[in-house]
Amino acid sequence: MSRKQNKTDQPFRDQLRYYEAAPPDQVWHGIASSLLSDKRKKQVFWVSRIAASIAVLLVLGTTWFLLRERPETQFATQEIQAEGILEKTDNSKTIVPDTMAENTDNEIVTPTINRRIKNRTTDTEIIVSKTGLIPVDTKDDEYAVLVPAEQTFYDELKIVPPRYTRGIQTNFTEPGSLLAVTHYPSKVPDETGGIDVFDEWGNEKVASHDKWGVGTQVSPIYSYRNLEASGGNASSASYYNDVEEGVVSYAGGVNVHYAPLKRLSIQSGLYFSNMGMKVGNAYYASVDNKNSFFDETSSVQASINNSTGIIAAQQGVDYAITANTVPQAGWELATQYARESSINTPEGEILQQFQYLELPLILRYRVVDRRLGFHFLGGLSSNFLVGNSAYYQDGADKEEIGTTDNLRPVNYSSVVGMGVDYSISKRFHINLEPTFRYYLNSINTGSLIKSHPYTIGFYTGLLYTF
Amino acid sequence: MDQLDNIINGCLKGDRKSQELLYKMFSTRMFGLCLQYADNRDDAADILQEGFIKVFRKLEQFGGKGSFEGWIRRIMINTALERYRSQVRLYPLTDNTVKKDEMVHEDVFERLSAADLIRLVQDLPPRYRMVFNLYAIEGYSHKEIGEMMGIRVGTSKSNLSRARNILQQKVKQYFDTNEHIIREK
Repeated sequence: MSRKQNKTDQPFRDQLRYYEAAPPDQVWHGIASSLLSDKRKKQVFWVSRIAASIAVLLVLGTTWFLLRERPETQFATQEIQAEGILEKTDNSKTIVPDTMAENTDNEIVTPTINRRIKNRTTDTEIIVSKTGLIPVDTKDDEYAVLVPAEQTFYDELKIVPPRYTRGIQTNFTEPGSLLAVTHYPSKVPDETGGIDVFDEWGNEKVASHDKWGVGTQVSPIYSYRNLEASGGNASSASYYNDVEEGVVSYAGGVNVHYAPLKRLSIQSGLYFSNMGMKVGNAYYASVDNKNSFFDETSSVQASINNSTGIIAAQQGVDYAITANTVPQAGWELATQYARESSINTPEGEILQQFQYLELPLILRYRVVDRRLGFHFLGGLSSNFLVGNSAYYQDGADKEEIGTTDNLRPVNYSSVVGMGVDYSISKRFHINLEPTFRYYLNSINTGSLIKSHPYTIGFYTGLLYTF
Repeated sequence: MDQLDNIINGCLKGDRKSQELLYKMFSTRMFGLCLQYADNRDDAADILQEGFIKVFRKLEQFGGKGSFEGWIRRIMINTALERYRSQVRLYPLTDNTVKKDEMVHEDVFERLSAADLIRLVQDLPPRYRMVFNLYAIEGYSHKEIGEMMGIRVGTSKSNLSRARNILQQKVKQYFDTNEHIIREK
């Protein structure tokens, strides 16, 4: 039997194939919320990509800047040697002949001795004389090199680029042969030593590092929250994501550092963070409080649901402020005589503020351990709730309306970041640290939706080490 | 058609107005479809919402080939099937076998309104409902239904047969008692 001949199917096909019915209005609201959320996620995705790119460029730029300093330093050392004035520790001073000035008389004014330098990689032997470096044959695997007496550093000069400058090297007939010479600094103690300003900071063998430090930091912070919801609460979370937004605030504190190793330090301290968020579409509801005529002390209370719980807002005799009433952010009036009279169009927003005292424990590792350094940091922080308030904001007007219920008094957050530091002197250092803090626990205890606040800050400060 | 193209292009650019226009253009037809696959009106609304979110997220995959309405329809049906698969264990596996003497003449179905037919379909156990809708209304073959639902062709045929029997039984009761025993939604 073909399907068209089935008389049970036929009426269903005829009537239902193009059946139409008007869907409930909230379907579009749900779709629009999801699309808006997608859009925000995309924006966040791009912002984070751009931020990551900037961070990578910053790291690469800093690394390049610091690494390129090294060859310049070496060159400066060589230049000093090429100048021809080299001091010995035994107070003997050797004047290296000026090539350009004396290449006409072709005489060696400095005494020379034969120095033998063992070459393990090649069998080449070189004699250094005023006429240049001359490969010679020797019976054993050693160099026979003529160098000025007492000039133990002389082999350093062999890596000077082949050019005619004021220096001891004269009449280089085969500049290429210079480059083939292997440099053995370990064979000849560098008693004269070039002046390397970076070695002053970076030489771990010589300089003992400061173990302790105290400092202070401040930062503008962007704070918001991440919602964790499942099942039926997911649509509520989606709704809250639409009507709520983060706020820019501030943080700061004092810190103590202990550095068991030169590159690694442990930091603690006491910080203060002013965090929060905004709930948009705040309605100003006029309420008819029947009792107010007889008892002016009775008040109207509105409970405003949001992602962090309920704001228990205590208001005046006959007015109340609430958030958007559809669909999850409901409100109620505590006074039995009160009833809703009118809800005006959205006029402002509700600002929730949470203040925390933070006790961090942070590890810092200096990837670039120089005067201009670069470091990574990570750790944990115990955060104690010390302030909790909610305000209604309408333009320039700001009015405190209550507090948020069921906030957890002690919270824990992870801390990750990176930073650059610059030593303005041996003891004082300034730093700039982009830092991300994420609350590991939900800050509310009574809500089905878990709210994890996070902050992004650019902490900058001063550190004194000793 | 040009208007639809403009709306689709607007949606691809993330224009909220175009998205709303597209939704309004197809929402009633798609809600009618969702009602056939759902247990009730609330479920249908959930399928519609979920389906339209997919439509907007995957719009660039449409590519302008074939009927746009057919494409949306297929997404809605897939959404309903996914929902059925995720909830399938929640339904009791009761068997509604119908005796021959309970069969009714097929013509009685034609005396029912579309809303009555929807209720009849919604009253079917989900596994029968899905197969009946896909076969009788959408016109898919048992082979296609088997692939879509992850069941064998024989199972699809058997489910269709049982769906028809249940529908006839319900209609017989409906006319015998001369009152609406069909569940009010």
